[in-house]
Amino acid sequence: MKSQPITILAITFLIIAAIGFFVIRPVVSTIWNSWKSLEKARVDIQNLDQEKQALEALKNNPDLQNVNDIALKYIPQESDSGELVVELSAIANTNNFQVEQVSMENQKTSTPAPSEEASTPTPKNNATPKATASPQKTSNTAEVNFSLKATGNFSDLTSFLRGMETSSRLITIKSLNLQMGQSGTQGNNQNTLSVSITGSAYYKSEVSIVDNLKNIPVSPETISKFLNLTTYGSPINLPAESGFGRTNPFEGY
Amino acid sequence: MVNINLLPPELKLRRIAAKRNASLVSVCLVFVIIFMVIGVIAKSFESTIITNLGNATSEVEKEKTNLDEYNDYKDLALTINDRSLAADEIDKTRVFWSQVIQELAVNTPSDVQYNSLTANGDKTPNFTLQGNTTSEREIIKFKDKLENSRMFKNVVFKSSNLGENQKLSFTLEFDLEQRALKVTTSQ
Repeated sequence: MKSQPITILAITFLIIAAIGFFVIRPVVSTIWNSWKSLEKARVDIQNLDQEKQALEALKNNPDLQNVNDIALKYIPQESDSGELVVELSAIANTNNFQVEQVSMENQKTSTPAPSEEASTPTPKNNATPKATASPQKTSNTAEVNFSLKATGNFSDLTSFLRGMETSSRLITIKSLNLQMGQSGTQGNNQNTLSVSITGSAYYKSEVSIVDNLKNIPVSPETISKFLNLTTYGSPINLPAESGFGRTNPFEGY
Repeated sequence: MVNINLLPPELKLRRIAAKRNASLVSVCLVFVIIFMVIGVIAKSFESTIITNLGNATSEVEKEKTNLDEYNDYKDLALTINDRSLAADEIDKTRVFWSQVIQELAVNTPSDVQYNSLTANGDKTPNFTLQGNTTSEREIIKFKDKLENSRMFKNVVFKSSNLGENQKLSFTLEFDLEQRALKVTTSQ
C-alpha cells in the first residue's frame, strides 16, 4: 500500500525526464545555437550595410582613383629607384640647385631582400651616377637609401628641402652636410653651398592592413594629404618614348 | 443527525489511500502535461527561429554578393589607407629639415657666418656647426639663443681660435629637441 505513491512519483519522474531529455533538451540546444547564429547574422547584416554605405561613398568619390595613384607613387610597390633619381633631380632643378651626383647606396642587410642594379642619369652633364639600389626591409616597408650632392644658394636650400618633404615620393632625409663654397675657386660662389644629403625613400610590395570595415572609409584628411603632395619629376614612361636603336652604340651621339 | 460509518476499518483505510493516490496521480499528470506543453512550445519556437536564421543567412549571402561589385573600390581604399598608415608611421621619426634649418638661421646673430654645418638625425650630437664671428660674446649669444630655441638642446661650445684675418672661428655641437619632431610632424 505504501509503495504505491512512490511508484507513481517514480513513473512521473521517469516520464518527465524522458520528455526533458528526448524532446526539450535537443530543442533547447538547437534554439540556443540558432539564436547565437541569428545574432551573428544580424550583426553581419548590420556590418555589411555599413560596409555598403562606406563603399557607396567611395564609389561616389571622384578623387579615389587619383588619390590611389598618388599613394602608390608616394610609397610604390617596387623600389623604383630610377623614378626616385628623376624626382630628386627635378626637385633640385626647380629650386635652382645643381645636382652633381645622385647615388643609391649599397648597404648590408641582415635579411636577403630583392635587389636591383640600375644606372640612373642625372640631368647635368658632369653627373657621375653610380646607382646600386639596395632595398632595406624595415617591417613591411622597405627603404631605398640614396645620397645626393648638389650646389646652390642658402636661400634656395630651405625650399629644396621643403620640396623633398612635400614630394610625391616619400623621402626622409637622414643627414645633411652644408659646406660654404671656397671663394675664388668656382667664380662667384661666395654664397654657394655644397650640400651632401643622405636619405631614404620607401616602398611596400603589398597591402598589409586587414580587410575590415574600419579600414575601408578613406578620411578627407587622408585624401587632402595625398592631393597636397607635389610631383616634380616627369615619370619615365618607356613605352611612350621614342629614340631607341643605334647601329653603332660605340659611336658618338 | 449523526452519520455512522459502518464500513470495516480496513476498507476505510483502503478508500483513504485510494483517494490520496488519485490526487497524486492528478498532480503528476498536470506536471507531465505542463512538460509536454513546454516541449510543444519549444518545438514551435525552434521552427520559428530556424526560419528566421535561414532568412538572415540568405540575406547575408545576398548582401555579400551585392558587395562584390564594389571590390575594386575596396582595393583602392585599402591601398590608400595602407600607404597613409605606413607614411604616418615613418613621419613619427621623420625630421623636417627645412624647418630645422630655418629655425637655425632665425636664431643666428647677425655677426655670425657659417663655414660648415653637419646634421644627422640618428647620430649624437645631431649638429656640428663651424663658423666665424667677431668676438666670443657673439658665440655665447648664439649658444644661448639656440638653447632657448624650441628645436635645439644640449648646445656645447667646442672650440674657438683666432684666424689670420682676425676672425674668430668656432665650433658648436648641439642636438635636436625631440619635441621638435612632434611639432614638425604635425605641421
